[in-house]
Amino acid sequence: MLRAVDRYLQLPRRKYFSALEVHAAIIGTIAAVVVVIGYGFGIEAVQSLAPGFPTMKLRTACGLMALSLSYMLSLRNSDGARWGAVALAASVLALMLHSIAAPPVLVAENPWTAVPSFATLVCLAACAAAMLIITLAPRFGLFVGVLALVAAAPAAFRIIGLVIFGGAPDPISPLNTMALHTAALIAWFALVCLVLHPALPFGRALLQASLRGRLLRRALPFCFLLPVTAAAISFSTHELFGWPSEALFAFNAAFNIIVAALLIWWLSSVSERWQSEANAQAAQLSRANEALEQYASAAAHDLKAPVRHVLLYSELLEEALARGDIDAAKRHGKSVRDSARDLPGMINGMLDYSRSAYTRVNLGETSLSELVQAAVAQVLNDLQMVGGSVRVLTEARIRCDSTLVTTVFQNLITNAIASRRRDRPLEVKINCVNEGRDWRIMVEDNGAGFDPDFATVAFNPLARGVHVAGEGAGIGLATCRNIIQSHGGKIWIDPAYRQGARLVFTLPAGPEPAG
Amino acid sequence: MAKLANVLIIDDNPRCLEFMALAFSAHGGVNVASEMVPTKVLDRVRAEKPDLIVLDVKMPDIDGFEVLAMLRGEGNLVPVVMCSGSALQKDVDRAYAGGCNGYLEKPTTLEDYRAMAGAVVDYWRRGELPGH
Repeated sequence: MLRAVDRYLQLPRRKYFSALEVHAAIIGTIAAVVVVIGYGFGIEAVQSLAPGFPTMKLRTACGLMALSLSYMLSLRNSDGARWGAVALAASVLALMLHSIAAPPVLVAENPWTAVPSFATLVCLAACAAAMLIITLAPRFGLFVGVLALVAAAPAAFRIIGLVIFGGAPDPISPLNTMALHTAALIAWFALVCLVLHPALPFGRALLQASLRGRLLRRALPFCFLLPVTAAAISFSTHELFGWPSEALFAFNAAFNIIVAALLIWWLSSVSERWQSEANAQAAQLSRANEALEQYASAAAHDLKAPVRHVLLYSELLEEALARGDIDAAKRHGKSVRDSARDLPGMINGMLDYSRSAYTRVNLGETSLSELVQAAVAQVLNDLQMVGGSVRVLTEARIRCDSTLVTTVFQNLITNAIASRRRDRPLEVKINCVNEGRDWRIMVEDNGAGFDPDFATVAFNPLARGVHVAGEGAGIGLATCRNIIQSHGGKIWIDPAYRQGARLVFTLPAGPEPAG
Repeated sequence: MAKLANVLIIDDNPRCLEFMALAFSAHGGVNVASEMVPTKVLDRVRAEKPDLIVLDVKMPDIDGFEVLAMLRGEGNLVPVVMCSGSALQKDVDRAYAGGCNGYLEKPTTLEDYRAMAGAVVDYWRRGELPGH
């Protein structure tokens, strides 16, 4: 539940504004619907169809609609909207104060003369005053919080009274004429719209993604529930046992203190856990940065070396030509070619690796044979040169990004070619098993296999540096890991396989990738 | 005539070895030996007692820092000039902390290579680099 609230409140800013607008709009619309049915279409007809359909005094409904509209205007950035919000809130405040100070004489034909209960008038006046502060002086946000509680508390008590006791527990209470739906709308407006208004420092703090914001979001529901629960228990106790007010006060005080202490204890443990998680994440980030720095250093070193060699051999070539030493010139010319030959492979390996970490996965259904054939086509020359063969033992329809998974097979076949044994022709066998949630795919070869020490670090891009990128067993496996992980799968070397190398990876069989 | 300098160059890359050997050989009075396998360095140093070691930093199995640590660990104070493709400050600091006598970035022109080799040998002859 809390996680759902978190997700809701952590929506992008524009959507969050929309969410609050929707809250205010629903409150105003409910008031409008109730009043239109009550005074427009004839409540008798509706109540004959839906017995117990609520009614609402016209002044209450107008107050709620005006507050709703005022709230939506206050979320806009224009001056016109702001002053419109001020005018509406001021009108509501004036109407409610006037209704308290000089209530009109009730005329049966004139619904406007029906005055809401004292509690309703006070609650709506408090909401209107809060709206005025929000729009005119948001720096006094603390008072908005106080006014919101002033409005919400009587409404909440009335809701408890009605829901639990079927009426006000105290017959002379000023709350005893507030209708349930009116109380619900007022409490909703006060606790959600007013308290969370983004113009208030409190609302901003509450909504921010920081530890403070997260703690506030967890603590606040309990702060609201605490007095309400205490009141509900007090009411019940009073009804059942007839406790005197002193005993109820003592009970309430003790209950609040105990629960508040438990709340503080719980929050401190939550914040401690978050702090340790944050520390762990910071440490992980630091390690990742360090790895990135090492990788960048290794990449720079390995890429600079052949370029430097090309430059130096070119100079030697020039010197040899200048002194007419054709044999030396030929030798240096060959060295230039040899030095430059690895560069495209190294750069491609690095590009594949960096792309594999950030590429968006486009899922589609493809047969295993098609994926393998596409990979074989990429390395056909090398494969024919060594007389190797690639066979798919079990056919399956796999859900994956075909381009990315083809790259995986291409890297694995390239590895197999690089680590083939000279005393027998290379055979690569590809098999797959459906394990329910996942496809398990195995790529076996009859080559030299992996050194056990290397197998533990084989998927680390730093394991052997980028200088072997073109040969397949260096950055290629790190690229495979990125691709498989982006599909929500895993990849590993089977340590038990002794006839060569066996790489195993899984791909989710379900419709959605995990990552 | 100046004393003959025996220089041992350690680098896993044969091309780098070739450039380094060419550069040092361009100076008269220098014997150049080279080693591509860093794990064999200690034995060769004990056997050949070079006057100067030029040591690559990034090598497979054990890197230049470890070779330097092993040399200094057995009390060998032969001057060591470390030479790397990239001179990151943390690598330079680590090298000097490990007891190297100089840290150079691998040059990109033959002229720089020869100048570097000449400077290193001249420094050694003038006693700027301590002998063992």
